[in-house]
Amino acid sequence: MSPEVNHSGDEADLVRSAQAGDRPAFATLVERYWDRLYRWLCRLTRDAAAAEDITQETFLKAFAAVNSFRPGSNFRAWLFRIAHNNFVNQRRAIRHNRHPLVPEVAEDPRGPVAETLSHETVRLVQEAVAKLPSDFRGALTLRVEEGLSFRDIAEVMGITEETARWRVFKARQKLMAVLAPDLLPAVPNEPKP
Amino acid sequence: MNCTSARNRLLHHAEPGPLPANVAGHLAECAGCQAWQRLLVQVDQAVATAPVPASNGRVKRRLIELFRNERSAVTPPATSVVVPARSRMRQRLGQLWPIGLVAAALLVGTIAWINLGGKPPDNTTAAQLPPDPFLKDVVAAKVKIDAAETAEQRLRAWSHLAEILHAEAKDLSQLAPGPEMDSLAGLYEQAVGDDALIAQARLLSDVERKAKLDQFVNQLRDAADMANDWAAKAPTGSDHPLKRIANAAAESKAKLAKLQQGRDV
Repeated sequence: MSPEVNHSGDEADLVRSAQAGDRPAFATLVERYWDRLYRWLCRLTRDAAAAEDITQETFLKAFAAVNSFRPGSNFRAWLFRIAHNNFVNQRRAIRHNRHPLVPEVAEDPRGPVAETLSHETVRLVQEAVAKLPSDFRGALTLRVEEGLSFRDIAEVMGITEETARWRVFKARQKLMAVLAPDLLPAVPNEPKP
Repeated sequence: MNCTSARNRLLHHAEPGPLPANVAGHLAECAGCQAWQRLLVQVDQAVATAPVPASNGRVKRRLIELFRNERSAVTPPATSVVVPARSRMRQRLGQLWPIGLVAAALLVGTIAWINLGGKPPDNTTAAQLPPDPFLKDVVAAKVKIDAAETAEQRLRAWSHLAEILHAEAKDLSQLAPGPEMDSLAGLYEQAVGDDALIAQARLLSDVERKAKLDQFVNQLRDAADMANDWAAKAPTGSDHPLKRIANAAAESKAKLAKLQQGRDV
């Protein structure tokens, strides 16, 4: 059997194999989660180089600690938790060295959903998201991009489920407060009492 | 229902699923809120699909090759768990655990359990109390505080305990307005107060304060905002304790922010 076949089993098998010291099994997990972890860290750090560094460090730390992962729990949330801890520890250094993401040089949004949104909408949303506090931004993107439950978001960010809900709510509220005046010019924006 | 309420409900329900009837009723009649809801959906879509700079993939490939090409089976290092000596835990008990906290937590937990539909215990001994998730969490948090080896670990443990108490306050505020909520507010004030969370933050070095306190400042900011929000909607008897919790969180947040800037509090 080729390694690919060996490692095409479900995630629990891969994790069990990695816990038994099977490094190629862990390589499959790296392959599976690298892109989404990198994407999330880009949103948190707003610095592609820092995001790539933290992604790599996260996988190395995850492999070193894979035996502490509890079978049956959510591997993705566990991995993102390690990434978040790394981000928190490096946040100050990132602030000093940041090369901000510039929407114009970023790659185009992909997929049919993105095609239905105007470039102007995407640009304005990106700018507004970039201005959110990183913990609000992190919670919101875990929810809408990763589709994590509030419980998992709480696990990733080391907060309570209630705080996770609150952060997603506040992030959306802040975005709408900023975006509605620009993107809803033709209809009444101000709530009526 | 007015537009503000409808939009707040929409923010809470920006997930797949049916809208509450009163929100759906308002939407059917309000063109402004219909447009606002469409924009909310678009914003979520734009957040989910917003581009990030493409990586050249070199780091990823190198790491994957590193794992794939290593044929020797290397067992990952086992995680070490620090278990403090019992005597040290006892010694810290008096310093770190305010007298009466366990008793108060038991009281609050029992009242919450009774209000949640449980039967009152026939004999009021702790051993006969039913299992209570809140109490379990409080005791686990206390053990963490006792077992912590460093100021940073104790800071995290106090912060975690404060979050448990904060979450309980929301539930209890609807079930048991009055003295129980006052007790809970008192516990929260202690957990984030000068002798607990702030004391541990003071023990950090200047470098540690700058690097580590951000997340606690943010958590306390959220805790204050949430408690103020809950207080505005809480029944009489719960509103004041929730305001106390909000004020305690805001006060501690301000102190941590000062410590972060290298100032004394």
